[in-house]
Amino acid sequence: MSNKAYYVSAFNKKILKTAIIESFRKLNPKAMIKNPVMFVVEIGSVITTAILFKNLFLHDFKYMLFIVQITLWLWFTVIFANFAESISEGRGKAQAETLRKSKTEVIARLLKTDGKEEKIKASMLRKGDIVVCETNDIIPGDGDVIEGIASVDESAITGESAPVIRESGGDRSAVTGGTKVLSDKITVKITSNPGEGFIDKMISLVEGASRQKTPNEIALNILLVMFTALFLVVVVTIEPMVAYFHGHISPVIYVALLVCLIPTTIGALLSAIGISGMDRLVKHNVIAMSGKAVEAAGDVNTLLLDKTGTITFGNRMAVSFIPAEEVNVNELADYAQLSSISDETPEGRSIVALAKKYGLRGRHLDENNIKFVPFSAMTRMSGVDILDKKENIRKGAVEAISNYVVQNNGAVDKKLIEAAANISKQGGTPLAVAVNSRMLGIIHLKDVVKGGIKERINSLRKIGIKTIMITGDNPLTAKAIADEAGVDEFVSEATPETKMTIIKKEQSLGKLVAMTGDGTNDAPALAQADVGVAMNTGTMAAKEAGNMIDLDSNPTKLIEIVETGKQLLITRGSLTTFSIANDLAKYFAIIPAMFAPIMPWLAPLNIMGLSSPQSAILSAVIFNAVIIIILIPLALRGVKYRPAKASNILTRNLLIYGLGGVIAPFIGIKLIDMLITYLHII
Amino acid sequence: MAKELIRMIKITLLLYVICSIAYTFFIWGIGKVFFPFQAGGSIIYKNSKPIGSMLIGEKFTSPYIFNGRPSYAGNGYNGTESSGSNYAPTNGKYIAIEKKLIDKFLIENPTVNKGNVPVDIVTGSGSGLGPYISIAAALDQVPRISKLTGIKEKTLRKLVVEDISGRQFGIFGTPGLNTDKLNLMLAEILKVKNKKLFKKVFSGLAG
Amino acid sequence: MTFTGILQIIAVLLIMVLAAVPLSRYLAHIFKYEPTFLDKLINPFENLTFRFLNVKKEEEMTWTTYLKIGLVINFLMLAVVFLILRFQNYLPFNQMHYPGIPWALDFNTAISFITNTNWQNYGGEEVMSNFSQMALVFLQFTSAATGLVFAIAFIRGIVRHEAKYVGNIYTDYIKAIYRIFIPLAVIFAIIMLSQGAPQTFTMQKKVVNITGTKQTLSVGPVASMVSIENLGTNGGGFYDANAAQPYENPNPFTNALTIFMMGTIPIALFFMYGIMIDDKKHAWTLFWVASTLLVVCIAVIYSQEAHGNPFLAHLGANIKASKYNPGGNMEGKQEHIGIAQTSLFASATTAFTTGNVDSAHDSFMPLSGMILLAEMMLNLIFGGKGVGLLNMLTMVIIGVFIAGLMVGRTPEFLGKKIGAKEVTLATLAMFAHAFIILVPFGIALSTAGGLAGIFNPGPHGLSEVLYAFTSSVANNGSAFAGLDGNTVFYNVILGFTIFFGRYVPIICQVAIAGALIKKKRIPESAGTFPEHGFLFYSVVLGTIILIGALTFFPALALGPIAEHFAMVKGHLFY
Repeated sequence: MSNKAYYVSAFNKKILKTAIIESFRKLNPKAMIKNPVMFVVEIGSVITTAILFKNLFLHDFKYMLFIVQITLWLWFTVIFANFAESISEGRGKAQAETLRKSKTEVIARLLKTDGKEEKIKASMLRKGDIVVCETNDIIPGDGDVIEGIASVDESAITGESAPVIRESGGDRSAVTGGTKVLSDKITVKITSNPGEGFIDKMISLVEGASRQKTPNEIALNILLVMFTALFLVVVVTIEPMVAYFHGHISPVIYVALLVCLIPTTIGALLSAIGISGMDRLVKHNVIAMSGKAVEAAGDVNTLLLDKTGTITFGNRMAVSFIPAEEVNVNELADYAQLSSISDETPEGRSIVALAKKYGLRGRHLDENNIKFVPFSAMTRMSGVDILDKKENIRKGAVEAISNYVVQNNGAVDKKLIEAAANISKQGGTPLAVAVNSRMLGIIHLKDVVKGGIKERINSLRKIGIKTIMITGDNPLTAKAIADEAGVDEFVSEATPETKMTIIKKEQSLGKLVAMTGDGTNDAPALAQADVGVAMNTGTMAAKEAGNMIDLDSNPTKLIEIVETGKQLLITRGSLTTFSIANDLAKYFAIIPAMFAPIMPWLAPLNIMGLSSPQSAILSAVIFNAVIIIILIPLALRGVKYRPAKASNILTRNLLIYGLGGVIAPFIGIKLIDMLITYLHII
Repeated sequence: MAKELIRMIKITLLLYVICSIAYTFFIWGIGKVFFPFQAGGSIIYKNSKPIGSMLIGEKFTSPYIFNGRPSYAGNGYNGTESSGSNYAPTNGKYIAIEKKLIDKFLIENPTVNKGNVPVDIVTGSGSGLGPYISIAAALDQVPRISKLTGIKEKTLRKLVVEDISGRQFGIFGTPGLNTDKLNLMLAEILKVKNKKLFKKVFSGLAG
Repeated sequence: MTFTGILQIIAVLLIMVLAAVPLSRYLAHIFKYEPTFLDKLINPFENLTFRFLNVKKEEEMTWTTYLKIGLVINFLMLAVVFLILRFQNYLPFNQMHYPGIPWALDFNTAISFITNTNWQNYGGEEVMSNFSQMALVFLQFTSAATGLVFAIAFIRGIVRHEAKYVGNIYTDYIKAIYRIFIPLAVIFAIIMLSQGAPQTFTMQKKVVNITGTKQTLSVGPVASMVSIENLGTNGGGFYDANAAQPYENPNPFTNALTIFMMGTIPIALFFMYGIMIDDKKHAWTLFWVASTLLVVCIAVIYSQEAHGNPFLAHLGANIKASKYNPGGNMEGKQEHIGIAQTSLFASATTAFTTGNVDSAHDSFMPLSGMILLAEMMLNLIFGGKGVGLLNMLTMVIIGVFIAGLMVGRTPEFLGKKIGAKEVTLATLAMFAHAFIILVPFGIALSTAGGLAGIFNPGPHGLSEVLYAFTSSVANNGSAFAGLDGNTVFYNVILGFTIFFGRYVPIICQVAIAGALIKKKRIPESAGTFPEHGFLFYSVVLGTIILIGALTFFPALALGPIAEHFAMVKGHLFY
């Protein structure tokens, strides 16, 4: 993991302090009404407070201690809920703060139509303007490089300190405002107006300012509102029953019962769960353009994976040496290494690395004694001449080396040619190595599948997600890689339109599709996919088409994104279940207590053996409030998620949050009751 | 819309004619042809006079005969006002009534010990028209009837045992005795044994 | 509890399930418009009917049209019967010259029968002419068909995807009546007739008993009513005491047969649902959910009733069952039918929301009463015609929504995503059910009119009122009959609760079908929530119990639960 420049821990002092202040500020009914469940609690708190003052005024101190404590805990319930939301927002706000710092006012070098430069404020730039950036300039706005190549420091947005290359044309032309040119000079065409740039968008996203409720969140909210309404009816209709028995129950107790029954736990934590879900993506360096996209990620049925970069490293690597008949494999390794010493390509480096496994260490050669022969498209080979030994070592395409050997009056080894053909057939690339007229053998180069990818794909299969590998390779090569990586399907010789076709086909079967892309070619497919993750290195068109942006430009991350989406939904479901399951115990605490004066026979229902009616009710209320605080870390962190079959995940969560939700409050309320009794505070 | 409304009215009227009129008459016709006795209410005749239905309980309160269960249908066994007592088990008034009923049964049938009063004979049936009593309730009344009528206990006990309606198909229901039938049998015996008493007790048959 | 008692219960239940399996296939054929063995007999009538109605059978409707027509037809039928009852004194088959039914009672009764409730604030033999009883029979057919066709529309909403039409209501309606209810009603009416149920147009017969007592017997077209009353899970009997009146239920065999009539179609509907959606495992799981609840309910009632009333034991009655003594709580029960079958009957009539009673529920033990209430509060233990299935599926949607989130996907119900709309409608149906029970219940307890009807004192009186509203909203119709409901107050308020209790959930549910039918179907994978098997069973059962308990616990605590504990402590109420 790279160092996250702006990722902030939730529990630093500053955030805590702000969150506490915010929790009180949010008591404003105008803000509270957005959360109907907690709004009801607030109204309840106001009612009990009013009763408290009325009793004070009338000098009625009979149940004062009880009423005071209930009132306090009801207010705490509201404040705890606000605190949960504030603290999750606080982290986003702190992150936005860091981002804003990178947005200091920049002077742009505007290139006018007459070719002259003019220095203006970046905020004056408009879409379509052309600016010039040189070493140490801050790029004044989002744009596309139209001329030149430069290395750019994008750590301000990605947190990644290694510079990236930006060049005109192709898929690496997009630059982001606020990033810094480290070397060379580029001309950039600005593509966004001030305030609408990528960083601005990111700030409002992490800050939660543009946060909209997601479809599941809306549905869940409706469920919670309906439950609240239901319990309101349940509690209100207790009064006529009590009146039927000529009894009287204080409104304080009705409020206490209502607050205990309505789903306050999930009501308090719901928005915190949503915000921190987005936040977890930020932790992975992924910016989701909407919460909806994060949810959709959890629903994905099919993943389109580009072979190059996602499944394989994208570079061919040496995997074995195949020596000619009379040649020792060590000798071949020796020469192969020599031939590659000056070869700085990934292939060359992989040959040196493989040779090391044959006991050959890196060697120091007398520079005067050697002459490097660089690769050229004409000869299709490279190598080194060792002058004193008169050894001309060459490495290259099998055909080219064969020609070279023949030119030097050597003979071509038929068996080696066959071996080379075999390698091609398996989807690999053969390279021949020769010294003067002798062909020593073949180096087997292969597209290497990333370590652990097979396990990842297996775990995806376990959670019911199908993977499709897309590659431009021929079917043979594609199949070899597909088998090795264990993907479910693959499409070879893919054209840019292939992705679009596959997405549409899968979607017509009712499936949700996720993909990654970076090129302008990918833009339509990214837009069509339910989850389109654009690489930050990609073009502006791609970034705008996708609904997520991966700042690390690591396509493998699609898997993490899916898991984060699932975790978000699981956390919501689990805490809802927990919240509703809790009610059972609260009934057993409150019902016998509140009805004790009119129906003393209900005493056997007090199965927890709570010490007095008042302490029973107070214990339930305290438990109800405290559980919110206890669950905040879980809401922020998310329920543990390990890829498994849906039924296994469900069993686990049902046991913990369903059954646990039934049992936990029985224990919790009993303990609080014991504490209250011990302290004699009632 | 008007067309739709006409269609809706048509289906309403059509189904009314079929489901209410045609259907009821069809079943009536079948009853008329195949089950005339049942269709008329299973009413039995003695001396060509209708004496009641074997299905519907009759008010048997005289100590000379087998008494039925208390009835809350009208003044008791009123065939036009089927109803149970609807007393709740915790109703104090109900328990007071029960106390009277149980004590009365114990006094009338001194051979029965307290704690052994068959529960059905002191509780009302659901409709107040059920003719059945339990075997225990019938047997417990034998000594009393024997004493009052002079019929041997053995004869009466035999009568009871022979009259038991067992479980239907060997499984459904609880064995019991139809008091209508039981008392009709008792009447036959009494008619031979003590004509005078017979006329007094079974005035419905005597006339 | 006795061995033979348990055996009887198991036998009846088993026979019902065994009969439901083939019946479900027949039902599925009908509503998939596939050929059945009765085609030759019924097709001519059916085609004639369609021609008469000017209906093209295949012309399908959107859910709104389907619903609208269904509701208007209901209203028209309601009007017809309302008028017949109101003016029965001008109509035939009224030898006793009963006057027209007063408007409030008429309002209550007509609504009660069109909604499949059959709550009766009257004793049939005391106020209704035979012609009026026959008019009620008409509604017993059509109200059963109404519930059924809406359930069919709902199922089509699940089966079809990216579609618009849910079927043709006229076709479904006529098929339901011609192919299911009429044939079955005829068969069972004949069986009941053979067992002793009267079928005559005479209203009363006068007899002189052997003891010289004059007795008047109420008779009438009973057999024809008894069969559809139970087959249609209506429950409105010919007599005040319903199936406790021997003419409606002459012997233990007819008692078992009545239970069979009530339960077999609702159970078959669960299986039919499985066939229609092509997911039998799912339907069977729901069957086990309902069965579990049913068996628990029967067990509690049977054990409570067999245990009997401790107060009577204290007074000297023998409440222990033995060879000659039935024991148990015999108040309001028929001796020959016995405790076991009565317990089964009571549980069945509330589970299948029939409302027909063969005993006085008011006199049941407190906890038995609680179970009866609970069965109606849930209203999904197989339930009435179609409605039980709809309620079960509504609860499944709520359960699947909450638990479905826990597998990390947007919850799906049989491949259809559950969004805000479905959740709103499903929870609204659930909420409406509770609201329409509890609020009028509260009103009744706070008004003189409501309190006036209460018969039994203490917590049981509370239960009586609660039972009335629960029974009406659940469209059950059974009663804690001590409550005097034939007052303007109860006739009107119960009329309204019955009306809203029926139509609000149905409208919500058909609207859910309308929302589901438009959706794409997402194929099942290892990542989707499993909608069959033990896990699903637990989720659905848990949801039902939890929501049910949370909603009604306070009312049950102050009613039957308080009564039970008071009884245990030996406390009587005056």
